[in-house]
Amino acid sequence: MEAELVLENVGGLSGFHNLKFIKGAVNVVKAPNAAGKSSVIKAVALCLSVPYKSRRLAEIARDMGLLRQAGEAVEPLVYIGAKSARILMKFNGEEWKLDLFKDGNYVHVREGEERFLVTSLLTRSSPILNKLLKGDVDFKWVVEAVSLADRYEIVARVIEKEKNKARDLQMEVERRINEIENLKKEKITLEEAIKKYRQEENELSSKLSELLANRQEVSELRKQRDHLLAKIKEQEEKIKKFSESIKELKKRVEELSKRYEAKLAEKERLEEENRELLKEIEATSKKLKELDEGLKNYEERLKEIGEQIEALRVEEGRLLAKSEMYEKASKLLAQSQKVLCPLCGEGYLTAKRLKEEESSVKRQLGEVRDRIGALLNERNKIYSKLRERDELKKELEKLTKTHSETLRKLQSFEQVLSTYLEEVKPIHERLAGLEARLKDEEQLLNKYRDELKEVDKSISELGKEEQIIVERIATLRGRLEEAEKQLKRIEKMLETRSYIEIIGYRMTLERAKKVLEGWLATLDGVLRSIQVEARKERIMAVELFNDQIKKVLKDSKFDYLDVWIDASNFRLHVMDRRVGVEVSPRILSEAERYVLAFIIHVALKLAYSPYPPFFLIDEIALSLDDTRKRAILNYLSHLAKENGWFVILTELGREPKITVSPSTGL
Amino acid sequence: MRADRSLATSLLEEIKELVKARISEEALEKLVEERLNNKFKGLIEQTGGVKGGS
Repeated sequence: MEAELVLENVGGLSGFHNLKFIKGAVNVVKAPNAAGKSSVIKAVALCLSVPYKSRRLAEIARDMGLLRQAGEAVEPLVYIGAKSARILMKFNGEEWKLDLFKDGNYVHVREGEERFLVTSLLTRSSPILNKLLKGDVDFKWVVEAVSLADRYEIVARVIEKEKNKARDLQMEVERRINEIENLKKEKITLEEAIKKYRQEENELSSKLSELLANRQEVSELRKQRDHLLAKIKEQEEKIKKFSESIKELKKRVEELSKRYEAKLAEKERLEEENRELLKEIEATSKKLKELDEGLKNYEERLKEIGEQIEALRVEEGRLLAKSEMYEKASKLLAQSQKVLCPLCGEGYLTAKRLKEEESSVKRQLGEVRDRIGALLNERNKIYSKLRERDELKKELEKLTKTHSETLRKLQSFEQVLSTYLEEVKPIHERLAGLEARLKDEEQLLNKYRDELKEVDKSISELGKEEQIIVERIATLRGRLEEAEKQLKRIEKMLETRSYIEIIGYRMTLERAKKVLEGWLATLDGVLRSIQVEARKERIMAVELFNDQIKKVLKDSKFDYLDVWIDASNFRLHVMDRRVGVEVSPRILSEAERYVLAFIIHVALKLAYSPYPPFFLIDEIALSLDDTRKRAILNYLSHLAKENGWFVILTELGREPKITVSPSTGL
Repeated sequence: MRADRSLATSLLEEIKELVKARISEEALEKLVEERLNNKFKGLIEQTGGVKGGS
């Protein structure tokens, strides 16, 4: 039967690699230096051991270069040029697959045996080999890693933490109980003080009563004083009422005044408007009068102008006719040398004379027309003034109307304002009456106060002893009040501080104390049991190892050594039976130390993780002489056959690529 | 107050089961803390603790 290993971009191996291993045999992986032999061994180990539930084993995986250390950027088993690596191992019909990503994440198809790292993988960075090299024989860590002791220890730490929390709570409860005790003591002291103050106050009051009874005069004065105080109080009430009434009335007057002021302002504005209107009316009337003056006898003048224009039109016609005749005469004169005068019909006209006559007629015509124009102009002016007069008349009417309206408004204001005065006048009268009364009452009050001063003076002179007692009583009362306040505060504190809240549950301090005592006792019991379990696990692990290693030493023919772990201190002991001396691994030769590490691994493998059935050794030949190497190979071959293991070794090869072949021994 | 024997026994059994379960050490810590908390609550309720604020 074979196991098939498929690697894709694993460690120093880029691309796909397919390797086959024979069950029950020693399989030798050969390749030149830096060709990926160790990557094959690490890949198989990682694939068969992840995930690591134990922090200790995860740390070992990092130390052995199977996983990256904190702070490293990439996974050591992911080929440098790839984003992820895949390791697939098939055997006995099972499939173990691991996808490993550059960022440290990985996906596995089935859970591996995490102890495989300590039991089934021997490389130069194996922790056991390294410890032996340093002479470190404390094997407690191995015992704990292969057993459940580590996990029991974790539980024990959690319980210790819980115990610490419970102890802290217990201390808090104790502190609160002490606090309550102190508060109770303080309460008793205060109660006693209060009782003492009250007793003292009673005694003083009795003494005061006695004194007052004995002093008739003081008693009379006190009565007088009380009477005066009552009167003063009454008087003060009265004054207060008067003051309030006065205040109310003043407020009312103020409101009315405001309204009056507003109306008055409006009235003044109207009066101003009225004055402006009157001015305007006056100006318009003056203008109208002037126009009327200018238009005096305008009808006669229009008639005259009409007649003059008519006469001038006649003259114009006559002159036009004359002009036309002269025009005809000019035309005739152009045809003959002589022309009869067209006006008189006598005599002949010369061309010169005709021209003179013609221009004379034209000049006269122009003059007539100018005069007509002037008359028309004058007539138009008269018409224009007439229109202006009409407009002024209309405006004057309008102004007069507005004036009348303003006057009407002013009249209504006068009425309103006179109403105000009617309204305000009685208030003022009442106000004056009240103020006078107030003055009288204040005088009376002052009189009472003066009288009171006199009485107090008499009392103070007569009752100094009583006064001292009264003052002492007052002081006592002050102390009493303060003590009572403190007592209330303490009682409240006692009420609130007597309870405590633990994980959301409220309870009395006494109950909390009992619960915590019980819980701590329970935790102690559980912790002891857990420690017993952890110890049992360790001892069982040691016994199993010791039994197994005896067998291994015998079967491997390395029985000149005796190796065991002391169950009391978990130290590894190595005895060379040939000389009967216990030796330190540190002083052993490198080959002997390697043999020791080998047999320890085999014993651990047989004892704790026989499955998965792989045993891996990287670079076996480096430090071994032929005899030891042969012995180891023979024993591995025997183990493989007997247990059905796949033993995989790496060796330096000459061929440029990785090959796998069964071991042929030396 | 003395230790509650039955409480201790049941707690121990639960813890043993958790120790043997195939869970990570982180998960083991968390689950044990939870169990302890639950048992403590149970103990308080058993002795008359009242849930809720003051």
